[in-house]
Amino acid sequence: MRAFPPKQSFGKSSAGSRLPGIRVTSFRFKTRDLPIPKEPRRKSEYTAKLERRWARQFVKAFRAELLQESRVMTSTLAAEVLAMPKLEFRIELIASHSDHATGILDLIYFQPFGPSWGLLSARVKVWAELGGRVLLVSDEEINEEFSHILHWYWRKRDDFREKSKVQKLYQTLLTKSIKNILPLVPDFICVMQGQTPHPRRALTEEELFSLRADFDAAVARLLAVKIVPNSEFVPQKGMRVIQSLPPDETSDSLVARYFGALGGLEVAQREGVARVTSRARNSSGQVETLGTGEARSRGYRVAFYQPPTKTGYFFPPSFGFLSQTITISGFDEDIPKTSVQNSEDIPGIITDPSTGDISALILDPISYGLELKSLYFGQGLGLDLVMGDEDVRYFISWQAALNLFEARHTSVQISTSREEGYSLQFAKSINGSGQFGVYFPAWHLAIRLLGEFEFYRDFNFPEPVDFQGRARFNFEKNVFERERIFVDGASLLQLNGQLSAVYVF
Amino acid sequence: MKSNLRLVFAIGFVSIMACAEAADEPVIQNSSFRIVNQSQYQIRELRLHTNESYLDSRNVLVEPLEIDEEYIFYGVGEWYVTVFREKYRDGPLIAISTANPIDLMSGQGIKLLVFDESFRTAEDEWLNPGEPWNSGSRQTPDASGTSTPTQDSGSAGMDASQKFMDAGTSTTSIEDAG
Repeated sequence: MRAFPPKQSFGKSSAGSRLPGIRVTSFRFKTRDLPIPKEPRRKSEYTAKLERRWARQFVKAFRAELLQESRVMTSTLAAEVLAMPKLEFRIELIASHSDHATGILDLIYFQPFGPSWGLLSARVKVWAELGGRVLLVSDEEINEEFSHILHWYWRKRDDFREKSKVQKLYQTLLTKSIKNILPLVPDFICVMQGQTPHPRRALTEEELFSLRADFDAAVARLLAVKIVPNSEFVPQKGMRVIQSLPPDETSDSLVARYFGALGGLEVAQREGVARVTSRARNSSGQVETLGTGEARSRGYRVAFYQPPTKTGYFFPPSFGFLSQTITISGFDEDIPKTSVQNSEDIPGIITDPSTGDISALILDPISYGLELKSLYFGQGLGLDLVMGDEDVRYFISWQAALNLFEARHTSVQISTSREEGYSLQFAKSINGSGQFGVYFPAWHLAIRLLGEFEFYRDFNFPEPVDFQGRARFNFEKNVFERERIFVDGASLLQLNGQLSAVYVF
Repeated sequence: MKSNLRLVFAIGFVSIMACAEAADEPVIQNSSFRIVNQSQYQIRELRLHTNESYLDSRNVLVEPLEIDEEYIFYGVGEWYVTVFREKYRDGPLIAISTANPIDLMSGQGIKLLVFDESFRTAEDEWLNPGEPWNSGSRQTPDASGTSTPTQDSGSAGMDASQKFMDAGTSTTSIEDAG
């Protein structure tokens, strides 16, 4: 006769619930979801309470299931099981959940009005103790999506809702575990009856012989049982933060995948503005804006684009090329007149020496033609938030990237000559974008509004260029004048916006 | 009759001599006109002219006038001053002219401060061309001691035939371009 090895250490038996026939000898509870007190004594009391409760629930559920099954089993067998005090289990509940919120949207909505979403995970492992041997008899896991469009409303309505959700999952898992265990119960009984005397009555010789005959077979069957973890994913339905693709959209057709990779055909109207700004410190130590320039663009764009299908973070590389031609100009300012005793101020008439007349060349503020180019590479971070149901989906996305390496070329047109220079830069520019859109899957139609920005700091000029600061009184000369300030470079900000319609393949 | 003729000749001779002396008489002392570059730019050209247009006048500078450098001019009458400078470094030249002429009075010292876009006149000591102010920070008339800005044709207040003599040894003559 095969004997079970000695009882293995299974950790501290922290709680148990003994009901006739079934007992939970060890219960472990691993979770990050419940508001477990941090103070050690309270924590141990709290967890012990939880464990007792869940152990009791397991036993009750097991008994209920067993009674249910007893209609299928022979009533004698059910009665035998219920009468046995030695059917012992060890249970481990493991729960965790990921919880996400949109930091930016929370700020916009005055946190915590923004949506939140996550995934609840619960796993129940059950071991049976048979004559000192511990056998894994069930391993069930459920991953369930959850989300809240209005985080604040949800918090207000039901604090720690994950707790109740996890508890529901536990209940489901325990029931599933029990259902897994029930088919093994006859073998348990064979083993137990082979090992222990019946508590209610002495067995007859025939019964004893029969039991021992079945013992070896039961032990062999139990040892042969290979419990494979059973994992179930439960997607959320209805209006929600969409975290996983609906099953009907995960097509494996080659054509569908090919066009799916293209996403959709987008027609967009774009508008953009680029602005350069030169700042420098004057002789008083103040930083002045000395030159600015603006260039506008407008046009249409046709491209492939796929609206985001599910919520999640993404980490796009930032790689691209910028080319911007723009004029940077100083500004006009009237210089106040001064009256100095025993002297007479004479206004100056500024003219073009070649003609003797006033011309635009003379009147216009100082200006330089800039050609700014940058080949950049960096890393970005983005988030797609998709909310809705099967009929309509709203998506909000934003991303930001830091351009780690840049090769820049700057060309400055100074009057009739052109100065050029190259430089390598590290982490001197960023870009980002945000979009809002709506997608109607049934019509294959999406509309989106997109905003993008790019900011390049310190586009250095090949050589400093000459600008004039604000008019200030020069106490040495007793006159108002605009200080000549030489500027080393300019920053560039590009803003683009587009409104587009997308036909999604 | 013969004695009358002698008298007439004698009177005529005396008159002619008197007229000859009178022609040499109007010796006018020039004004010293000090032009100081107090702008933030190097002055490429300096033109002195008696009517509003500077196009027909010539640059009086031998070399550009740096910041805080001076140029001395001797003359009388009403003069416009025009300076040429770059609008910005390596940029186009612009001309800045006094909106009204500066009246140089005989024997007077006048200082003209050139700012970025305006000018200021003030009384100055009369500078003797022979005095040691003739240093490196100042530009003076050329080695012959004469600076010869071309006078505009029809210049007001200046008679082309006049020759202005200053009290010192240096002489600045104004020639009529016309």
